[in-house]
Amino acid sequence: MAHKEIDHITGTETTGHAWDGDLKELNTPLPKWWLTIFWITVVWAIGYMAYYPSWVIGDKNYEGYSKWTARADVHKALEDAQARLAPSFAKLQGASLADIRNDADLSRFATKAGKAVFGDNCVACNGTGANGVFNGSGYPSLVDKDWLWGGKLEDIIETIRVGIRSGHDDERLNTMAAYGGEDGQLTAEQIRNVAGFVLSLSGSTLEGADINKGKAVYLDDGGCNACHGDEGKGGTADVPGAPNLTDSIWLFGKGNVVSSITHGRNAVMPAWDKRLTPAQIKAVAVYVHSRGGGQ
Amino acid sequence: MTRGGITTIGGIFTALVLVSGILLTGYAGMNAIDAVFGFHMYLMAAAALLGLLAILMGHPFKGDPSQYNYGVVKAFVIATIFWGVTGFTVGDYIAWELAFPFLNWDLPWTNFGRLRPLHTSAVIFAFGGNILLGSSFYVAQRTNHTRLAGNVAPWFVFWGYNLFIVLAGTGYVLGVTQGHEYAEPEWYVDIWLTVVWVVYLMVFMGTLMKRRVSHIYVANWFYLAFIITIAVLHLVHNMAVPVSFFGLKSYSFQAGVQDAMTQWWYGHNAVGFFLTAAFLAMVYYFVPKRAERPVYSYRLSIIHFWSLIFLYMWAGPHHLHYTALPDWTQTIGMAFSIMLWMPSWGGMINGLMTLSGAWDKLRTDPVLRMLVVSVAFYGMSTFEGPMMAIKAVNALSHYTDWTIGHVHSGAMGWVGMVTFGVIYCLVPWLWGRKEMYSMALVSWHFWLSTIGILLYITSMWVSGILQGLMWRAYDNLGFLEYSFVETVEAMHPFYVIRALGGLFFVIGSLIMAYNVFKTIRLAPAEEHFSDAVLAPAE
Repeated sequence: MAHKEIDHITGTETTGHAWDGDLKELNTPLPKWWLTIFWITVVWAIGYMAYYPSWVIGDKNYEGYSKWTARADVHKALEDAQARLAPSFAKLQGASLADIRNDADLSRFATKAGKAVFGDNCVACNGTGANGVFNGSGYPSLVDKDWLWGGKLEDIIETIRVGIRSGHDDERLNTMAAYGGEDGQLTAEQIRNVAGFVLSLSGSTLEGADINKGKAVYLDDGGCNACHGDEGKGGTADVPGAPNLTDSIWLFGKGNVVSSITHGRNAVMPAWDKRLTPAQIKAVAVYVHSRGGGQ
Repeated sequence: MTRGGITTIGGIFTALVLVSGILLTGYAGMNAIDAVFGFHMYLMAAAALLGLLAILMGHPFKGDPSQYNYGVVKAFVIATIFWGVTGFTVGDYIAWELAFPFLNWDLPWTNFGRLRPLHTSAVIFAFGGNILLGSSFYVAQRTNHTRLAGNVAPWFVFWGYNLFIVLAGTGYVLGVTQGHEYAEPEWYVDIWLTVVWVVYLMVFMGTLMKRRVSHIYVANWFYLAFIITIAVLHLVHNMAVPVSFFGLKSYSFQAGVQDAMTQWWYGHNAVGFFLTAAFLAMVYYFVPKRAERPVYSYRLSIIHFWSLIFLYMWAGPHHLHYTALPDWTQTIGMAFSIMLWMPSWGGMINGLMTLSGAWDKLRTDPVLRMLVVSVAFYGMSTFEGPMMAIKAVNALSHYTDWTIGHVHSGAMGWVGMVTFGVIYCLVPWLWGRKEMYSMALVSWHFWLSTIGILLYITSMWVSGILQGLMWRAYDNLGFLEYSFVETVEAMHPFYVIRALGGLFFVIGSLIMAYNVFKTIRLAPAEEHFSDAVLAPAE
């Protein structure tokens, strides 16, 4: 038989059972507020499930009183946004750089649209402010005046559209070959000398490098001038994309010149023409152009 | 009279199982097509060999039916502390990694992707699991007035379960995963856990069946719901086809959105039954025991038990709001999450209100304070959970650090704190000491943990809401205001604060380990210790 007793502190009856010596339970009724809120949530849940799609009947789900679907919601939001932005994008598409500069609204639109496109697609490599990940990272800063493939608005648009060594049919393509290694065109000593020479063009020195021998390699054995020019000033209209070696901007790092010559450099930027609309490409080009380096 | 070892039926049976285990794993190891698989097979073979030797020597698997089996509970408590310190330390390390990514040292073994499951499994399954299994063995004996069923089987559960953890943990670091969150171990580890779990169920059920009280105490219902449900979850979620029986890789029987739905049916109910129901079982025994007060409401315990276990099962889809999961499934997930609020709070009410008439003890007993604060954190996170399941809220919180903060207010505040409280209760009771070596150190642990938890969850609230707001910020033309990487940059200070909070928590756990060590080294206090099985009761 259970021995029900009254707990003297609460005045509530126990269930009369005891476990492990002194372990007992009071028979307190369910708290009213607890029960009330519980029922409210149940009623609310039933109403919610009646209003929205819920439960499967056969091979179809109940569509809900509202017939709401997330898919329709997203489509509508996208359509609204596109409808709102379409006139501005159309205007941008037909505008020249001068038009954009002369139209304050269009200029603001292009920069903001471009910043959003840049933020979604470009920052991972080119940095949040378009200033590269860090100096010498291999990801170029887009805010300086140094452009490998041209800093005019149409040049930037083309680079974004087709990419660099991207595999696109019209890709921007050139090659910095590997000159070192077993079968390399140059010996390690020659590479060190030519690295010293090109560093000297911007006033830097490289320990153990003979600059005069390096210059000979540059012009003769290495044939570096074919792309970088006799003066080291970089690409020409005939051979575009070769960096200027005299401006002390080192895409792959000032300390890595020997490595660059030895192993070559062929960094890739993807083509964006399949992913971005022409208007988006133009917008992001305007944004990049406006960051300080545009020509 | 003591019985055990190879002289019992259980001993003979286990010895046979272990011999076949050695043969099976040895054979698989010799034919292994992956190095890690071979390593794991030989590890299992070695463990089985050690188990066999222990049984043949008949020690320590002996027991007197008139005494409680405390030995295996002690082992679980020590394992809990060991894995707790390990899991918290790994967790804090990866928190620093998130703040300062160079700390992964560009090594495969220490990158976030491998250490993260090591942390989650170490704290959930190793730290949490060991205290659940250990405390269930203690509570089942004490509240059923009978010795634990079997003599070899409980030890098989202890060593088998911890072998599962070692297999899982070494696998993660060496790059083995089936890619299911909280169920990362590959097929052969899953099979091993199934064997251990079935034996666990048999030991627990066997103890209930030979109980010498007429009514089953409420804590046992919660433990049983936990054991059975985890078995179902584990079996369904891990159904996979191995590419080879001599290799690591397997493929899940489900793909795409079905796999995702099963994942979160599993994941959410692992929270519900592993981290909620089973820890509530601990509350239902240790809070009234420590407060020396009767449980507040028997009726509430019944109603909230059944409503909790019924409703929990449906709430999983709220982890997949705004995904490819069909709308109707998301609706149901949200609706059941809301209904789950009060059933969850039933446990909190019963935990807190049991202190009626004993609130003054909170001032003097830091152990009770830990238990009560854990229940308060439980109440907070079981309010936060349903709120985050509301789709409008979820639109902001989903994928942000808010989720991480929510999980950790549950994991550190509720699961961690209640476990610490239970350890501080159990150690003196099991080893027959008057009290812990130092109550001052318990207080230190309490405050360090509390401060650590608060730093953790507040930083993640701010970080998560900031992150969510930045993701959805538009300018006046309708363009996104921030790039993703800008939101990552904004997280940095909060990641540092979170890692500091974690450090507080780790230091607290080290203090606990020291305190427990010193307590066990104390001289026994005879009058406080009895492992004699209590007389039958009504």
